[in-house]
Amino acid sequence: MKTNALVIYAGAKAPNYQPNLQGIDDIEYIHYSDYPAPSTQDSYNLVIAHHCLPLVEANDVLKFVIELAGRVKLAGELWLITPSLEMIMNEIEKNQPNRIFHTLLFGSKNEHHRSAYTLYWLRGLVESAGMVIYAATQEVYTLHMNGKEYMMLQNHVIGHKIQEMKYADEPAVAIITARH
Amino acid sequence: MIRSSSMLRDNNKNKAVEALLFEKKRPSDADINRNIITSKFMESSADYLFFIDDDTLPPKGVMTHLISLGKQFVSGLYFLPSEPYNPIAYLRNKEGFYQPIWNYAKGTLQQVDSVGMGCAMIHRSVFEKIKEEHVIYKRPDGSIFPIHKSQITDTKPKIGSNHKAHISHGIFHVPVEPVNIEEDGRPYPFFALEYSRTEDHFFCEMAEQVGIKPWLDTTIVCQHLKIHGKGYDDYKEELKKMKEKK
Repeated sequence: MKTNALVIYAGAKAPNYQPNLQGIDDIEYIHYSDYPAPSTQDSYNLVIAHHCLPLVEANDVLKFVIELAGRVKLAGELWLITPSLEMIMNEIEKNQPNRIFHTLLFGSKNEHHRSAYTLYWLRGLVESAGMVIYAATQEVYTLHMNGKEYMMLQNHVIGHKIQEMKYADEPAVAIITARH
Repeated sequence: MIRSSSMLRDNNKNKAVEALLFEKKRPSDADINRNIITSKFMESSADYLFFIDDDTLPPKGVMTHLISLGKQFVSGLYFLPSEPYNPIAYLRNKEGFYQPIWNYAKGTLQQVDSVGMGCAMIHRSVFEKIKEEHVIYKRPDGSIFPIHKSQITDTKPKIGSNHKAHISHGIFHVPVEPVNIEEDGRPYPFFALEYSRTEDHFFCEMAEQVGIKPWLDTTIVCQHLKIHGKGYDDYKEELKKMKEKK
């Protein structure tokens, strides 16, 4: 059976997940501004929100994540990837004006950021969407801006769907069978 | 000895967790204590063994939280109770030496190479797989140790060869004989304080041999009680000092 992934991204250029997603046959890319597109299927083995969460109003983000989780097949995964708010906060603490971090926090002329995320917050969103946290890591990524490359940190939380949707009022407890 | 069999009520929505409580038999010898505890656990019908050290204070709801992650082997985070207050969770560097995970991001849930056993949730299947894939051998001094089956190439002693422990070509050789652990009577040696290393490294390496590496959840931050509680604030202070030195 064919496996598929949906990548919802922000920015001018779609990320290339093709070489890094082993075991996924088809990858569909949609810009956040076009989501949900008519071509979007009902369910995917993997849904990736690639740096698009900051474009969502903070009040609407849980609804958005629940919607994404709903598109994930049973035993599939949801990846939430955002710029690291911890990294931005550390830079703010240095009190040295830096346009890069200003952009990460507030967005660009074309894409205004409306929210920002720590690993904790991302985990909370995934759990509230009824998924089990598989992993939560901070990783280095390359930001391309004005023809230059910058090494930045992003937060990456992986939710694992091991049961049909459960909502925030039913915490996912005592689940002992999961992907090992 | 088994202290009691009871229903522990974790601090989360009144979900009950069936548990057996064991009291450590001796004041020291962490490896022996852990082996006895594990042996009793394996005799029980419980799915998970939760190691919580008596000097480690976890946050409320720790058991429910760790079980809910669905991992075979997952640990909370605590810190060395004396300087440099490093996290007791390690990754190996290029030379193969364990390095504490300084500068981890709060909220991280990731696989590491070794964790302390002070706040560790381990599924029964980990112990079962280790037993399945290891053979116990005995050294001339009577001490026993497990070795992965893939590392055994020849079980016959070499006639006429030097049967004393020796080093040749940079390898330490010691004569050994297989042991039936049931007949031996000692608990299975999952943990051992050997070569001046702690018993948790020993266990983590054995688990890794069977394809299971520990996960570390940094949302579970424990106090490590000594004269007074040591924890995250001490670690951050030490990190600050290290950065200032650079």
